[in-house]
Amino acid sequence: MLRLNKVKKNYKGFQLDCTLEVQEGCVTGLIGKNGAGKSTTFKAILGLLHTDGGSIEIFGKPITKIGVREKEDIGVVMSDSGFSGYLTVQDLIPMLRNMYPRFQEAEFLRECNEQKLPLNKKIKEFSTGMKRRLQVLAALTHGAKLLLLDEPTAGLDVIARDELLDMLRTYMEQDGRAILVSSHISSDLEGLCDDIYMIDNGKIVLYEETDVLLDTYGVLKVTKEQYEKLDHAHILRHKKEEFGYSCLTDQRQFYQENYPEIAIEKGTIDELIMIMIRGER
Amino acid sequence: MMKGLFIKDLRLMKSQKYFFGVVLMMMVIFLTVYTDFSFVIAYITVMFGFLTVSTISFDEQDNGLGYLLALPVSRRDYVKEKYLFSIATAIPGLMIISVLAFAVSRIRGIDFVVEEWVMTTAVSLLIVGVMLSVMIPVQLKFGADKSRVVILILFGGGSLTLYAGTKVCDTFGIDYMSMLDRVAKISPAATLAGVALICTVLMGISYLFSRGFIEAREF
Amino acid sequence: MKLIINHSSMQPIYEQIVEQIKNKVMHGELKEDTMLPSVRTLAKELKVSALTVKKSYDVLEEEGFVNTVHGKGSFVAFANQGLLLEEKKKEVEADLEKAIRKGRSCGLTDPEIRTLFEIILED
Repeated sequence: MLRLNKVKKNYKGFQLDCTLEVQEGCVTGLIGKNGAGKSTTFKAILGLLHTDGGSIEIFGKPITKIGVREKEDIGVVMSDSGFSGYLTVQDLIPMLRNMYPRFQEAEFLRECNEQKLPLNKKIKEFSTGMKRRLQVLAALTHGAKLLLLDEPTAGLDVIARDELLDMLRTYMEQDGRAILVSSHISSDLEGLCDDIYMIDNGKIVLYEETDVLLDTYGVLKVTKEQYEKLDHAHILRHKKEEFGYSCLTDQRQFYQENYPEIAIEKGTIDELIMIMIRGER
Repeated sequence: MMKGLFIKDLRLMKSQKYFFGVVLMMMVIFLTVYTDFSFVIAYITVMFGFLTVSTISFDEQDNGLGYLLALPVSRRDYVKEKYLFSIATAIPGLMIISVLAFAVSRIRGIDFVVEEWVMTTAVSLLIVGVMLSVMIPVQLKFGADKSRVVILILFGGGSLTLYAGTKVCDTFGIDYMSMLDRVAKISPAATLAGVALICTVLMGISYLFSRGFIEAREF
Repeated sequence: MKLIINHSSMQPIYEQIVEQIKNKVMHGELKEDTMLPSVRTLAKELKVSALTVKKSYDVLEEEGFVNTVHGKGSFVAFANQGLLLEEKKKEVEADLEKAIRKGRSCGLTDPEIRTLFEIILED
């Protein structure tokens, strides 16, 4: 549904070089710390900035051929912008109705009421969380085939985050849909995404299916002596610690079986990223 | 397509109740106190035209223009809609105030001279046309904040040029006053048609610039 | 379907799902021809990725516990007693392997391990 090939964007002091793919029926996550290039990637996909190289394809069409008609099938949440603050939710309804032929007005209204989003208050008076939720609702209620969500959970409390993830799961229950979602909070993505791209400093550093990450990757915590005696064949990165080293492996079973005395942890995706980014080979 | 944008801008206008309140008050004051309505008509027409410019700054708030262009809106449509919106607000604005002025003239027993009205309308439309043709592309290129400075510079420069122009005419003995008089004597219909033509051309050129600016813009 | 996933366990999630569904079938909680929830519905319920659930359904199909009808869904297959026994045997094998490896790694010789084994068997 979405394909980025060596998409480049040059800024002073930062360069994006990104290749990723989102398949139909999949939820793909993009994780990285702030400033890693997540938002830049989304903006490139949406045509909000001009790329310095590479190709982008949405629904199989190159981005230059993406017009208003295709955008009707896309739902968007952006991290640093939103609807004009001087409008109210009530104002948005006729606007959305005219922009999206498949806008589900009744459902939109119902969800706004359920989520206690005031209909007649100016959007600029909303909290960040409310603005975010409004964007999500607008993205989910017009029959989109592809959702591009840049940090949709930022600014939301734990419960709201959970509700949002649930809404996304419900969205995916229908065939023919896909989501590209980014976050710097990986626990959100563990329970939702089918596969994950890790981005750091503008480049993709890791790509793996979520369950492979959770099932076979692990973190070994070893002393210096243990580290020296270790078989390094499946160690991707190592990081110096107080007690010795933390090692990232993509074959946790191997070490579990052959070195039963070593402390091995499953590791949350956050921990895996930390070592992936901060560790050395 | 553009209809959604139109609705958005109309709603943005509606939310500016404070603005309309002031405008209404000014209308009432001017119509009741003064006898020469040309200023009011010009003022109101220009104010309505300005509304369009303010919608652009509203769009830009909080980086909102980026989000807007991610919706099913093409950059071209966005620009086209601004120009159409300005015409759709300025002209009705002009009509309303003119009708009111006419009605009030009748009530107060003042003379309503059609030729004067035509001149006033022509001048108002010209002013609005020039202002929008300059302000829309500038706002689109420089963004709401920086454009304020640019506009001041441009208008300052524009006024200076006009002033210099009059001085030059004086030096060369070109009697621009009598030229203007002759222009005024042209039939009302022709004047209006001429002004309409000039505005269309100006806005057309302005549109080309605006389109270029917004297509190049990154968020 | 009432499945409980332990996210902090070292056991892969898809394995946990497979195990629990198998147990339900073996204990008769899931009767033959019962339709399992769709991949995405179960994924939503368990809050895991759809791919994980798909993997577990694929494994269940491979091991004969489930039949997937394209376009309709996945149904519990005839609970073959022989299959179930095979399952359990495999588990015992794995556990024994683990114990033996552990013994070897802390320096026990094979005869020593065998002695331990006999002692426990007699208990």
